[in-house]
Amino acid sequence: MNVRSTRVVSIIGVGVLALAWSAHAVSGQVDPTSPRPLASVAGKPAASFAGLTALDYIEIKQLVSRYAYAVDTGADNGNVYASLFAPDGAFADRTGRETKGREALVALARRNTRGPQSAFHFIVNHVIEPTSDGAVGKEYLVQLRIGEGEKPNDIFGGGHYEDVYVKTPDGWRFKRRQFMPSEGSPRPRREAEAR
Amino acid sequence: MKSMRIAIATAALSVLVVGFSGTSAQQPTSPTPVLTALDYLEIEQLVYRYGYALDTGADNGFAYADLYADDATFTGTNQGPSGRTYQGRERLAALARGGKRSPNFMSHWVTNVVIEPAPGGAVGKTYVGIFDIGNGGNGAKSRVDHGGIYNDVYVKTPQGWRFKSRSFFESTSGAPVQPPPAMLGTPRALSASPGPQSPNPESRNPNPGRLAAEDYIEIQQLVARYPYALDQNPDEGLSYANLFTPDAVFRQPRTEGRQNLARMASGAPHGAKYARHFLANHVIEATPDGAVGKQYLVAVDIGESAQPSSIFLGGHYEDVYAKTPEGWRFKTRTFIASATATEAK
Repeated sequence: MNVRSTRVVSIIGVGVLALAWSAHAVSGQVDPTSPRPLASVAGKPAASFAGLTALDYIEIKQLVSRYAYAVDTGADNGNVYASLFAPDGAFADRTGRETKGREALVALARRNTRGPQSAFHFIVNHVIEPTSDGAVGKEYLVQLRIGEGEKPNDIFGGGHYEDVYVKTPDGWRFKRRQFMPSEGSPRPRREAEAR
Repeated sequence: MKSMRIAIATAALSVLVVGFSGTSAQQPTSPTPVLTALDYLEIEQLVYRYGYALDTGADNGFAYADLYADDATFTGTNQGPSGRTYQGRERLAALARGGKRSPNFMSHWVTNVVIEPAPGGAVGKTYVGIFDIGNGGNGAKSRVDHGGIYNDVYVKTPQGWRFKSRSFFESTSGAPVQPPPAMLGTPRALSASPGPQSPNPESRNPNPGRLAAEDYIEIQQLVARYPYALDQNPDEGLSYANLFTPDAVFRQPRTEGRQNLARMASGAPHGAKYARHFLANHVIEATPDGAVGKQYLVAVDIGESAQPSSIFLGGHYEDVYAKTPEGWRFKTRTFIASATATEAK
């Protein structure tokens, strides 16, 4: 084999490597014929990571983490909170009533601020799925009252968010976020088994 | 030309073998695969889906069962005197059916997800706080029902990452139980071999002030390990101290250097199954020198022996991270207790 063909082989080899490698990386993608798709956010079979890069996924996680600080501290007089939403973005309450647009979102943040040192919105279980024009996601929220004067620390409430994300020139933003309070506990009292 | 084709085919075949051998968990001598950034993220998604599937009992429990590989098991080490193991799709689905509940019911609050490559796939651990929120119909206050640690083995199936086994250990501050949750090693640089590799080399952006996907994940993993090192502290604070750079400073109380950090950690309550520090909302930002970050902390004293749980403290950490030859480490870490300036609305 001459030098040139060796090079060709090695290039093809790299190509195959990349192909095998990417197949390895995305082999979690759900085959449309798969009998066992993961339950998805919207109740559809999950499309796994098709369409989202690792950095997209990470940036969406960062957006959601930033939300907690923005709403609890009301930083920059509510403007940080509003800046997490797309220009036409909206926050919706449990009934679906929307607070839409920058000014309304700033006002919402000002009403809800708890102080620069407050930690109230604890958000976990962030599931993200790509869609044809962005991504959707959901998280659990637990609201904790901690360090409020002499009152004992306690759980104020919780539930989950349902989000629609859009990639803007400034990065990923909320297009819509709705909060649904937790309800319908199956436990009359503490007898549920751990699972 | 013919020999070249053979050479190509051989090269391709061997690459394929290398590429996929890591996914086979059935081999007794399964190699440890290289986990990519997307593998970490997909495993994390699996872990987060668990809560929804279990709490809502969606699809008659099968949404839960389908998070597991075919032969996988769930073990509740707290069920009965010696624990109980469930295997098979139908049994796992039955586990998730439980009582009648709302699709909005949210209980299994999972965080501190640590993932490591392991022979045949990956292993991981998470904390779980099991909340009872929205029990208003019974007039009961929202509360932490119980909680502890999941000890996981993950396997990559043709459908994606799935649980191969998951065991729940109820949090206790007392003596270690058998078997204790497996201890993970000290964190290591993900960029070292074997570690995740970016499918797109350009995403490993070396620009100062920018972080690659692998950097974000390694910093997340660093922070996720923190609670284990503190609450379980298997080695007199060594694992804890090794999360920091040698010259790191923790506040408060101001504690400088690994020896002092190890001593501080060992002075805190700990036990092999103890789960107390729950972290959330991890924000990471690139800086010219490395990265800074912050996250919320709630320390929950999970009730033992049917005693009620309580919230010990909460607030947030502010961190400076440095990339060292060992990987990302805390350079400074400062805890700021939660305080509310205005009356709750």
